[in-house]
Amino acid sequence: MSGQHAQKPPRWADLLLKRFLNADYLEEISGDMEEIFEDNVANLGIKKARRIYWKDSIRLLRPNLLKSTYWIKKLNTRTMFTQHLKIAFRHLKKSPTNAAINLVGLSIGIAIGAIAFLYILEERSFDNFHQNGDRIHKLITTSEGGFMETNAWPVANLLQSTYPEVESVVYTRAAHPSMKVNDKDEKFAHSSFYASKDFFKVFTFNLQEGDASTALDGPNRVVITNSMKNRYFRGPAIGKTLTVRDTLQFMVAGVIEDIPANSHIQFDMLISFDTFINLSDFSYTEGWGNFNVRNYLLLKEGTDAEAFESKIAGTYENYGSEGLKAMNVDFRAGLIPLREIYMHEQVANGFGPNGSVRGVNTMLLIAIFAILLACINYINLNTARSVHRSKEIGVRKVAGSTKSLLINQFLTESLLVTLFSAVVGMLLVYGSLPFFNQLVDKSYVMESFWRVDFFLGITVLVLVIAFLSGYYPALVLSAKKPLEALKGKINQSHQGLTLRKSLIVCQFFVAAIMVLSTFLVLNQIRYMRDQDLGFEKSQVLILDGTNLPRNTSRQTLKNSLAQIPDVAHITHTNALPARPGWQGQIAYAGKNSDVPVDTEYIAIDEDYVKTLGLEIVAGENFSKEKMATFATGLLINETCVQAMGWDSKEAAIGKEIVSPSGSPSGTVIGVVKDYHGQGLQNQIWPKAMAHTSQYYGRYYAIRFQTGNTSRMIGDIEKTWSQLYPNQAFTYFFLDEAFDRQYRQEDLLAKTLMVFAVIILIISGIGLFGLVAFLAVSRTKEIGIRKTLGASILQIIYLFARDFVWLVLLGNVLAIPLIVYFGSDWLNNFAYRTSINPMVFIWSILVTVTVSMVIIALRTYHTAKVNPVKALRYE
Amino acid sequence: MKKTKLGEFEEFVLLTVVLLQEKAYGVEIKRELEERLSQQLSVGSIQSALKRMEEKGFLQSAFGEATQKRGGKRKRIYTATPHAHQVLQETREIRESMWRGIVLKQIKNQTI
Repeated sequence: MSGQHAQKPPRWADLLLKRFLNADYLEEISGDMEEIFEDNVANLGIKKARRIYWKDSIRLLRPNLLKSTYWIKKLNTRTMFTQHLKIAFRHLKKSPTNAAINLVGLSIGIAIGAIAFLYILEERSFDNFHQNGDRIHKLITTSEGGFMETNAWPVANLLQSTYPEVESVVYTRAAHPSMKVNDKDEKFAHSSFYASKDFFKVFTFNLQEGDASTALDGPNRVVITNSMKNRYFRGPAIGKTLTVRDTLQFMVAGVIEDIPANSHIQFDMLISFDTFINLSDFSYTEGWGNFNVRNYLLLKEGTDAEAFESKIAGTYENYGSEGLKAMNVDFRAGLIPLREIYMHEQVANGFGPNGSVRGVNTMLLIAIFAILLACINYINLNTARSVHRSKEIGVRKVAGSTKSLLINQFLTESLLVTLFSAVVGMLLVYGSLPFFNQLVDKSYVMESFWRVDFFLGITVLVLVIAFLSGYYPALVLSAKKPLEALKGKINQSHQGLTLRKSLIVCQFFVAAIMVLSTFLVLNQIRYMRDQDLGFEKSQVLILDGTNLPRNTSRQTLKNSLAQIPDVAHITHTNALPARPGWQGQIAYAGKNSDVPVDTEYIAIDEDYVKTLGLEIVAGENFSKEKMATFATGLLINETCVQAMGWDSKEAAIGKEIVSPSGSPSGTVIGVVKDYHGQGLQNQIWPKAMAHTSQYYGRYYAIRFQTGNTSRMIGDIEKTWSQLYPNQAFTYFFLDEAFDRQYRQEDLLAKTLMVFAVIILIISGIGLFGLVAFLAVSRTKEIGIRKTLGASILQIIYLFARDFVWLVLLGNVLAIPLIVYFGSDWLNNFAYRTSINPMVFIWSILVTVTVSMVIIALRTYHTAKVNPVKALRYE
Repeated sequence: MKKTKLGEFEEFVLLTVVLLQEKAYGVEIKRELEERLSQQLSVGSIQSALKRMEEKGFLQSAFGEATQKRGGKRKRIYTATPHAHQVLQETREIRESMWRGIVLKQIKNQTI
């Protein structure tokens, strides 16, 4: 806050005076107020002065000081308003079906609007609580291959020492999963990260205990969150010791308040970065090839971030080591502002949750759709009903009502309905919140809605809806000529019919879009599931052996597991489908090649191919008979053959692969048929597998035969705990793990399906209302038709004919849109279906059937009435 | 006395206006009264009394000159009308005539 601003009286109080005080008195009184304020600032301080200013402002609001006309006007509208309200209530009571249809439609619309609004508010509020927020940037690395959210070791340090613009840097890095906390003979996993000492200088997290500036300064110091503290300690935790990974003794040097949910940084425990330096060979000045630290920069005030970004882009080129340059990849440094980290589309966030711009946009779009459709329902029904109200309007006009007064009346009515709907809508939100949470993977509670901006937003929403849906009917209704209105011409239902019809088209256009997208996504998911993956994903059990000691016991475990009945094959490895190995390992086809190939390095043993059911298409697998190949042999996949530039898979055998990092390097002994190591969203990457699982193995994959699986798992666990009594036994199935990669798509399909159904319901009740209205106004016609011999079916057909065309038209209009955006979406997948025309048939079938059922239901009711009754109607 | 009566608070304000003469504007009146009554007053109560009395014809007012202070806004200087002087005089006389016949009891310190 600058000094000048601080001396000003509170702005809102000033506005209050301006708005309500009599204009003749304003100059004098506000002058007085300001003078008193200035004195008070000098004598009592700014805070107290502002408070007194507020108090005085409010006490100035006395009848004889206020704008004189204000009250008179208000009194007048108040009477009219109560009158309007009364009439509105009577109308609602008179036609409960109509009211119910409006209410249901609008409340669903408002419920979706409210939820979407909260979701968007929350997503946009990420990382808004850091004091230096606008100066914090995440340092990233870009290359032609894409983006990395992490950087080479020396970069951030170099930037700090080279550029005066950098105030502080933070080094962070995820702690190894083995960093479990020992407590009472048990081990507990926590989300832990290393962070360098300026972490709390850059980010604003409140420390309950400890000193922010020293908490992470020095080795073996940790900062934990309040809830983690409460788990292990009673009372103050500062200075106490946490034992981690059996042998490490960490001192608690700080306790922070639990991290807000809207932070892209989430952790239970921060370990000082100096600890990491002690435990590893990390260096601030070397290690240009190690892209595994996450850095944040705090720039000095007034630094132009964009200019600075272009300044540092060439850091790798200018300062990088020879080894880095030998990789022949054009790395560049880049920056992402703090507030964009969570939602960044290309650069993932490894420090906590990731948001998605697309998710927010989809939600926004769906909310707008739902609200629009609900409004359309209201417009449609009420313009249609204008016929029934023409007499009322006629009388009012004759009695001297002006057009604007009538408009006011109808707007009051729509406001009333909307307010009711808002209440019902919030009840709907309450009921559907758990479901919604599951859908978007959040944990909102009703209290989340308890915020000022939400209430403002929802008020605006209610007003907008009331206006949108009320204005046009009000206009139409109030425009009637009094004479015609009094005559009550029934055949006026044709007036405005085109509009009503186009609104129906509009509704079913949206409904068709939703239905079509649902089918499209479902199709792509089914396609991905049905593809031949190149390996057998079922009947494989995986044990997580990441934390096992690295010694011969690993081989013992493998051997004893192989003895268990039903276990067909077993392999020890660092990578499995859906569990990638070392990605981004640069390799070359021989010493003389200068074309870098980005390979995935997989450590396997001789049973890997058999266990996963891979196919060797050239050369041979590792085998015990040829132990010599274990040291230098490599299996590669077909994609790797191509990437290396070898003519054929046969030609690849015996070729040499080298790499600066040493993995992968060796001689190709076999080529495996391409298989999908990741979900079908992703390309198949060049893979190179070496017989090194004794060094790098993390998992045991077990192919089992059908039989008693639970007994087999019991046996496996027994074997495991005999060997490793202190190691937790965790397992999962390969097919489940692999299918979990489609979780996002599944979720999208689920979301779309839910909203498609909701939108169909809204359009459906709109249609129902309109048909109901038409049926009533054509009661006599139907009576005559029936006496002349029309069957019920023919009468239903009479109505349906008009509407089915509209529904069809809505569908047809949706097709080009879906073709365009659908292909766009499908292009995100490396392996995708084409848009199957059957999708359109299905969508038409669904929407037409729904609308037919609705029309039939409603018309049947009218059509089966005894014609005598119908003819006596009115 | 006619219906244009002077309330107790109004009378205080009016007296202050007379007392302050050409210095009589909102803030100064407030300051003076606060001192004399030894109690905090809100701007609203003073202003409302001033406006009421102006309407009843006790006060006249005119804008003073603009100053640097108060954000350049002009002061409004109040002066009592002859009518006000007359009413004040009447009130005073009535009171004094009554006081002449009154001897107040000496209030003792009660210990309860």
